[in-house]
Amino acid sequence: MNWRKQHINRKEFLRWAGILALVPFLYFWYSVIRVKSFQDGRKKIEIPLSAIVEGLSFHDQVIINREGNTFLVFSSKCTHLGCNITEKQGGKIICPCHGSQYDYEGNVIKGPATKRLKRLDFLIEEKEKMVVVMR
Amino acid sequence: MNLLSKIEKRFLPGTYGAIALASLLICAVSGIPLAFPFDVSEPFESLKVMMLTNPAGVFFRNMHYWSAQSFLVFTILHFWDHLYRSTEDNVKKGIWIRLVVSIFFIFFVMLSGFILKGDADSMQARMIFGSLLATIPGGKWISYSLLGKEGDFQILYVHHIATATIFIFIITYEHVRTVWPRMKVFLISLGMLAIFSFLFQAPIQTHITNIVKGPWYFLGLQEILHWTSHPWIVLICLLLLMILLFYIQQIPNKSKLTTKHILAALFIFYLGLTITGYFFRGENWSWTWNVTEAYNPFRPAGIYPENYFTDNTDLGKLNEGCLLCHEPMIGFSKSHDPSAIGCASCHLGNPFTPNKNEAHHSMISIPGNLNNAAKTCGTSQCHPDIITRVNNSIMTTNSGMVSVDRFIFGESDSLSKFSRITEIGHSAADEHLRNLCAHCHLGKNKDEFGSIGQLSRGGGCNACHLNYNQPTATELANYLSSNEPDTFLARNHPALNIEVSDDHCFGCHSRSGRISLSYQGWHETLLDKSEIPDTGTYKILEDQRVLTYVHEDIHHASGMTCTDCHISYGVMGDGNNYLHKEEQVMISCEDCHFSNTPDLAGIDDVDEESKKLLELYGWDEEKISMIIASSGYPMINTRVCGANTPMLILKKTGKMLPMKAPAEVCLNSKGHESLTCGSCHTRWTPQCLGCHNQYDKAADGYDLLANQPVEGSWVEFAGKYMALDPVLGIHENPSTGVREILTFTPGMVLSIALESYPGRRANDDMVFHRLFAPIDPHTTSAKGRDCISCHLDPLMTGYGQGKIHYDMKGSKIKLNFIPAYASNKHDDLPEDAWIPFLKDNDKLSSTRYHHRPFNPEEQKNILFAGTCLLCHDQEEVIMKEAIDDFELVLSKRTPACKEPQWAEPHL
Repeated sequence: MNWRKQHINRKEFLRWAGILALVPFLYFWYSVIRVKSFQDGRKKIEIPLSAIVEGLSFHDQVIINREGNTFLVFSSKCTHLGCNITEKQGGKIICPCHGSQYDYEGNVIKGPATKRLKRLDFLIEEKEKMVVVMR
Repeated sequence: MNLLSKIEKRFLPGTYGAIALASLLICAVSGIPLAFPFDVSEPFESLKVMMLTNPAGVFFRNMHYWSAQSFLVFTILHFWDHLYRSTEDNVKKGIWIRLVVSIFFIFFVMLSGFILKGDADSMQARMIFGSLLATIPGGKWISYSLLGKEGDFQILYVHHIATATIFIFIITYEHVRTVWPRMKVFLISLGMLAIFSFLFQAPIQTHITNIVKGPWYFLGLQEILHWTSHPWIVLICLLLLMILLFYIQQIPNKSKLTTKHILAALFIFYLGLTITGYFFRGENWSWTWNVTEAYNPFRPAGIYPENYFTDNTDLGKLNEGCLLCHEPMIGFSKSHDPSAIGCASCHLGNPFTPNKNEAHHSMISIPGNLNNAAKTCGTSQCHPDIITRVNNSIMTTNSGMVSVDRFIFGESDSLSKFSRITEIGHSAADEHLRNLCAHCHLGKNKDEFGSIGQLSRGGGCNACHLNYNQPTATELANYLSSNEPDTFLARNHPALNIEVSDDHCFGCHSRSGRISLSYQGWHETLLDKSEIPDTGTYKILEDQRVLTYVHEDIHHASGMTCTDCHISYGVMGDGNNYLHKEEQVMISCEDCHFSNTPDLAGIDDVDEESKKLLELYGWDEEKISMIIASSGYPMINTRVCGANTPMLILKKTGKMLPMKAPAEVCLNSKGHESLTCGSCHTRWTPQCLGCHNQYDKAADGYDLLANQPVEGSWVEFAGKYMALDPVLGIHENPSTGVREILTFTPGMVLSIALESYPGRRANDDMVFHRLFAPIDPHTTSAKGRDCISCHLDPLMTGYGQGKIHYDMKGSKIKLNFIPAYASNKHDDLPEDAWIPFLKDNDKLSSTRYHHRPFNPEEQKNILFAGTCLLCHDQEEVIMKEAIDDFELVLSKRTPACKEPQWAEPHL
């Protein structure tokens, strides 16, 4: 390539160099974030059985609907935009941010949310009297 | 010259852009000292400590906040002004694109500042922002790049103080070729912002609430997001808007104006949405029309060094400023101690300011009333389920009282229509309730300090759980008599605990059925205290009612209090709405006095509320076995252990009482199967005669529901109060088919002068009802009624007081009833009767459906057995045998036995 014939000046060279430098920069940025996000992993939340009352109860980002020894465990994140739901009213689980409503089984009653509350895996530790929720 | 230019020229020290630049500089500089007290690992906690200990820090925080708002507002005005004057073309294309991009960074730096205060609103804003970004391809990485990992503020803090701020400064410098505003503009801006920051507090969420709102400039966006199920559309729109802004320079002049008009219209529309979100959205983003409830951003800061804590260790666990003045404070139950829950979780106000007025702003002096319970006792961290239950409890709705009252006034065709006392209107019946009854419900607010006593009514949670000890009561008396109550600092606080005494119930339950009186053995008279005779036992209540002693309930004599039987689900309700009070009772006599072992439960088998109560009473040993009542709820103070006698633990004293099995006669008696425990063991019942209700237009009345005096009032005239044997009647349960004999009292035997009420309807006149009410008067005796007291007693059968005359002259016995009272002109029955002698009462005769007096056949059965007692002593063997098997005894009759004059009864 004949660089002289291209008439590229210093300013243009720097501009193109800067744009090209973005590629490794974004790659390294991505790598850093990826490594960091892998470190987060799935969270284990331990909830004592004694804190899980009959009916609906709210815990650290987890909602549990207990009927005797039957548990339904949901994420308390609203499926609309991730707001943390901490209250129920009139037999409904209501998101305080945008007003989405769910029933006690996590199904959407009223939008804006369209997806049901995310069901979470859990483990009942009878001996420890604990429910371990994987979030 | 346009309006914005006029304002700029006449009122402002410089251009909009210059003021924005000054504000940016002030904002950046005021943020530097905040970095010292601010702890990125505990942002909210560190801010709370700063706000209570560091007046300079508070000032700089206010300055940082208000200068940021000023920067945003003046930047927007600067943009608008340039677009209006079409001077945007003066900016080079490269700079223009960076200016457009800087809009994102300006909002990012503002939002990150909002999030970094770390309160509940901030946390929700962070979640929304992250989730919103995650809706676009690669959004998760962008979200992670901007916000960092969940719960960590480090990345966000770096972007707030460095990345975004540096970018904004670079763009600003490129745009105006300086970062230094003119001295005059800078000084005036600095002065104005300093004054503003000294006067007004930067916002921070002070207590738990269900109102979640983002920063004011994003409330329009929050409103849009409420309406859309596809948030990514909003992002696309915002991106398109920025692209449009970028290309506005290149749009031909004609189209450019139209584009600007569209942009202006969109801006005004967004402004409308922002106002909507700010003022008209409340809990759970639902509509609210209470504009005054909207957050007021101009809250006084009150920055005076002497107002602040000098030592962080004085702050207490929750870092609340209340303790600056209110420590030490004693008297709390363990669960409600300020060291555990602070002050603001109950009393609200603003705990993060040392300024008295600001701290007391929106404070609730008496938390626990049902109008504030959702925000105080009932928040999600405390007792949310109980508040819902109490709101539906019969003690809150008074459903039965309202529906029966409306029925007798002819305003409802049903005795059992669900009603709420707080929703009554101003009809004759409702006004009757307002004048005479409507303060005995849990929804009535407790408006004055002081313990729950004889004159107390309502009070929500306080009605049962508020307890004053002597020092607290004395201090309250001193406070109330103080000449300077504003400077009086209390050191004793009443306790809120599970010690629910009979005194808590007394205020309301000493009225109407008067169970609280009867249980203690007292009967209300119509005597004035000046008329009390010299002989006998009397008592004068605080409201000057005069009582006479009859006989206490055996359970009261044993030391039992109301809550020894009435469990929490019966008192506070189980969440269901009930039509009448007896439907909410969750225990029965047979739950304690059983012949076959009932269902039992261990501590692990019961619900959380019962477990908590067991823990609070100190009864949470692992190996206990308690009774499950017939309602399905555990009776936590019962203990059943093998062949040992089942025991009841008294909640007040801890004393153990044996729970005795019913006597043999109660279990195996042919002909008496329908008798309930109460029908035999109820010793006496308060009864009344001659009740008349009249509206007096001239009376000084009182609306008990609205809690205000009114002109005119319903007045109740009582004829006579009596403590007598209960009347018996029948309850036939249509769903189970069970027929049982209950105790009744003349619940609604009264006349109402409907024509006396203003605006009465056509055909309204005097109405008369003879409705008896089922009642458990709580006058139980260990010994049941004997044979004579039932079978020879006209009152028990429903004829009223008087004498049954037995004419033995002929071959058969002729029976005749001689009433003690004259007949009532309305129905020609003796004043105290329920039914005519040996006849049916063909009208509705009870305040409950499926309840009735004895029909003629049943009356004959009762009286027939009574005729045996005319010759045979009830203690004779033959009569004892008759209890076991009456048919068998009848077959042994001799020719000397005479029968009543009617045909052989069918038994």
